[in-house]
Amino acid sequence: MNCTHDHDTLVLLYYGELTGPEQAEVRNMIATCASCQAAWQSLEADMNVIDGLVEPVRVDEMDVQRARASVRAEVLADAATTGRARPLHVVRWAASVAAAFLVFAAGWYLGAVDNENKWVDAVLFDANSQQVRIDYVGESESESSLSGSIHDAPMQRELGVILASDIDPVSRMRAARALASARIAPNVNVTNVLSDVLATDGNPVVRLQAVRALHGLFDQRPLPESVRAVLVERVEVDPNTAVRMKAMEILVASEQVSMDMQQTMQRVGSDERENPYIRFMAKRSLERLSGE
Amino acid sequence: MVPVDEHLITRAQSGDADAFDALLSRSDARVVQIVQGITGNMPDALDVFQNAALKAWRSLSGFRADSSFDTWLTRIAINEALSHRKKASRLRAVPLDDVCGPVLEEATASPDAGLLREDEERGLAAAMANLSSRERTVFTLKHVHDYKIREIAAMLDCAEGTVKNYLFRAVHKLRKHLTS
Ligand SMILES: [Zn+2]
Repeated sequence: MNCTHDHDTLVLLYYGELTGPEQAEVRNMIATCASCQAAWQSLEADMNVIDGLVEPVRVDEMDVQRARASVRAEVLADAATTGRARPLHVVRWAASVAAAFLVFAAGWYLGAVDNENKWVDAVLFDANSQQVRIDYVGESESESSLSGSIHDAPMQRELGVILASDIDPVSRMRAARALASARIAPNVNVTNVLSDVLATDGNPVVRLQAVRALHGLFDQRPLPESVRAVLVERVEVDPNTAVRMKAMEILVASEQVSMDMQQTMQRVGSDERENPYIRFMAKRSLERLSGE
Repeated sequence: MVPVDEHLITRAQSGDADAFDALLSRSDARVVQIVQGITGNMPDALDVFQNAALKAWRSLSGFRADSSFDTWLTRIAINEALSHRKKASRLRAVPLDDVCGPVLEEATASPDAGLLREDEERGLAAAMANLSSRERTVFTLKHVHDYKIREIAAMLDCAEGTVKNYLFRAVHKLRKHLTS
């Protein structure tokens, strides 16, 4: 086997991963080079043996059906919360609907960037220049990117699309972090996507960046009711301490009084399992509320 | 692999639970098999599948028709399985950027006993166990499930070249075992 041909290509041939012309070239190589021919025959023989031995792990159909049934139950419960008086969940649902609406119906995002056949590869933000660059990987591994100021609406739109829908938590986290470190003026589109992400994203790092971004947006400004409701919910239910802490800080700084907030502060302030600093903030905020 | 039924996807996207269930039913067993290769056991694989399916449901509006639903769901499930495994084995912190890289490699390789027929060829069983998890995952996705390299790259969030390299290494190691 002393030919200089690349025998890895034979594996690609075996798996049908070569294009027509590539295939013709490799077939020709096999036909004309004795050592390639031997390599191909031995590969085919080995693969036959492996084929006979390797088989997928057996999956019990009943197990799968049970799993799907519980998914279905949760899916239906998701849908049911729209009609029922579960305020926190309604808020969560309303926020997702709002974001989905923005993304796919109202047209704010529509036409922002042609995302067909592209995966976001990286989201880069330079805080000094306030420039964002988004790299995409295309179907054919061709790369492309979008650059621009984070203050431009199309760029905010694209970051919103990534935040609301990208599968990769790293991309969502970076999009949120870019918005968190940018000095942009609050606008309803960015606000809605951020509060939706804060309410629903499964990744704590993404939620943390989202709550930071909201903090930046509403520093010294009155909180919209929708954002306030999500923050109150987060303070009570978010499993991540840093997210609860940040949400608490924003609420305390806003000094906006409401019944549900007072109740939340009471609960959190007296919850002994809660982080001491968060409890301290809750108590201080209660004192201030009752002192005024 | 599975043809995309745009009609079902549109219905599911508008909140139709039956349509979503129908979509899931086309991929469920295969996704559970693939996830099992990462989690190493069936109960965890079923849990991961459920979580992944719910995530898919909740982000269905973000589904881009550039991949099939099957590939998309598998990608979510693989990510879910990786983070499940990271939690389960309390590995040292891995940089977020490297999700595709070391995570699979670091955990101790658990023999995928289920992948092999009985113990008739201990040699190959040992060879499979000796593959890194990443090699094993790529090999299983390609050889057993017949996904395209392009699809596997999308599922693992890697370049196609990376997938090829893992496939070459896996095939090479398995063959070496056969002849030794
Ligand atoms: Zn040759």
